[in-house]
Amino acid sequence: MSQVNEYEREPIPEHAQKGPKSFWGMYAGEHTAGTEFMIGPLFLAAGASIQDLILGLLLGNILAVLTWRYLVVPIAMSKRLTLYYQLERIAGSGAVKLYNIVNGLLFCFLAGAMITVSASAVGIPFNIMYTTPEATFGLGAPSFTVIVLLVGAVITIVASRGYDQVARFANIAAPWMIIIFIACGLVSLTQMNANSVSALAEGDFWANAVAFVQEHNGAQSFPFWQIVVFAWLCNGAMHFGMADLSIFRFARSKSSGWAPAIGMFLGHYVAWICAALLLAAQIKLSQDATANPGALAWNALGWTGMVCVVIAGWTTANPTIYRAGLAFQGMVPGSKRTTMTLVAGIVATIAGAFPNLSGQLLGFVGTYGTVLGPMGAVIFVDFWLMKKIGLQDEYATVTGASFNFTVLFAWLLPVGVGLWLIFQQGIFAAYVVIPCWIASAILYPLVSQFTQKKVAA
Amino acid sequence: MKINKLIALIGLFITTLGPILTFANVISISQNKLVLIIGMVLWFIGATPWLGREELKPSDTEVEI
Repeated sequence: MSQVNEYEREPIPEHAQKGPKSFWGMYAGEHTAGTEFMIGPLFLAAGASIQDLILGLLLGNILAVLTWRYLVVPIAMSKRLTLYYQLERIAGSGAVKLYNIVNGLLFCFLAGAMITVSASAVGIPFNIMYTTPEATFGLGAPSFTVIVLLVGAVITIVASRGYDQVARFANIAAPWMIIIFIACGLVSLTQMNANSVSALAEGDFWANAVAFVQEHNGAQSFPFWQIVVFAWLCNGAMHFGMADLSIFRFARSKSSGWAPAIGMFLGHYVAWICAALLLAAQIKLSQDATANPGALAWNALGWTGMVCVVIAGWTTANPTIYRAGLAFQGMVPGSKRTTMTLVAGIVATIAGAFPNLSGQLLGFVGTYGTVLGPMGAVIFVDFWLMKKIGLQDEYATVTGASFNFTVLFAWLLPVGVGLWLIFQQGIFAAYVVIPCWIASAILYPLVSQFTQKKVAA
Repeated sequence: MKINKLIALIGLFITTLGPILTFANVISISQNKLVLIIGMVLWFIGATPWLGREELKPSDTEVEI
């Protein structure tokens, strides 16, 4: 635990810095999470072709790795501070609390989706199935809702005791989970008789599944560039939003910035495609297009698949609820972390009881990047530009302000417009991340020209 | 520690081998399910004492997508 909780408000000293090998090991187990069981099948359900998926994910993941390497790492290695402390120095402690609470609420939704994923597997032995009602806020079957409440209660109680033990368990399970995702793909191909070079080359196993979904759910499309943008920006909060400053501040060498490649290509390439193949196999075998992660894994791998889905959902939900609890604790002075983690867990469990919310994960991760990404633009401009154009960097630290209202304006105005575009105009959420980021990057120095007062050097 | 590591790696090897043999039509899908259970049990028996003692990393506190 030592290095995880240390150096929260100071630069990482030289002796605590880590070489590239540590980062490759660190990222190998990241991004192969419970979300992958939901996101993979959603590509097929949205009508993506297999060629577009293979090439689009390849390009999108390359762009994501380049963003980590060239956007995050130089600032992380220069400042060696956490995202939160760096934001505090620029925007003030009050603004960081606001950022944290927004982050916490988004985490609750994500944890809710993971509770649904775990519950979908826990219900299998009891023949309790995950069904999606028509209304977004419609409940599933009463028995499924009971399972969600039980799973949510267990995950919340464990999270309230700290993330330590579950984080260790997640590290133990990570290498095995990657193999299980690959197993899902191989067995699914076998179930579809697509285990020969000719069948794989023809690709009928995929095209037939897409045709089935389109026939039943109506025509949809998920073209190449949409896949590229989604793969690039689904972790927008981590790279464009600079959340991974907290990780790369430990980097001794800039080449560590290539390490997310292993997480991306195992989790957001191999795991997504393999999870999508599970749904294609289910459609071929039982003409059922329901993306129920527990049932999908059960059909392919039996008990092992079911255990993997439970572990994947649980180990993803646990740190998420813990983090949300910390965010809520920061908002309520004098509150206990345990109590606030329980509050976060209750919110997440309620979200998890609505199965349709987890089915909207493609939109959610784009919205997540849209909301949190622009704060990364503020950090980027503060680091590279402010001094060069004659403005004060780390303004809140210099002035002692708890709210730098210029930062709030530069963050919230583009985010407000972005959310309007997503929810009112129906724009695909991942498309909005970069325009919002650029708008914040322009607004922050522009408005600062008028709002910054001269500070004695 | 060495024996734990060995048990875990054997478990991981079995977990890898089962789906490959299934893909190659050497074993059936139901036989593979049994192979995977054996692999899973061996992995967690060996990996829990082996990897469970390792120090947590900075990324372990971060939220994954």
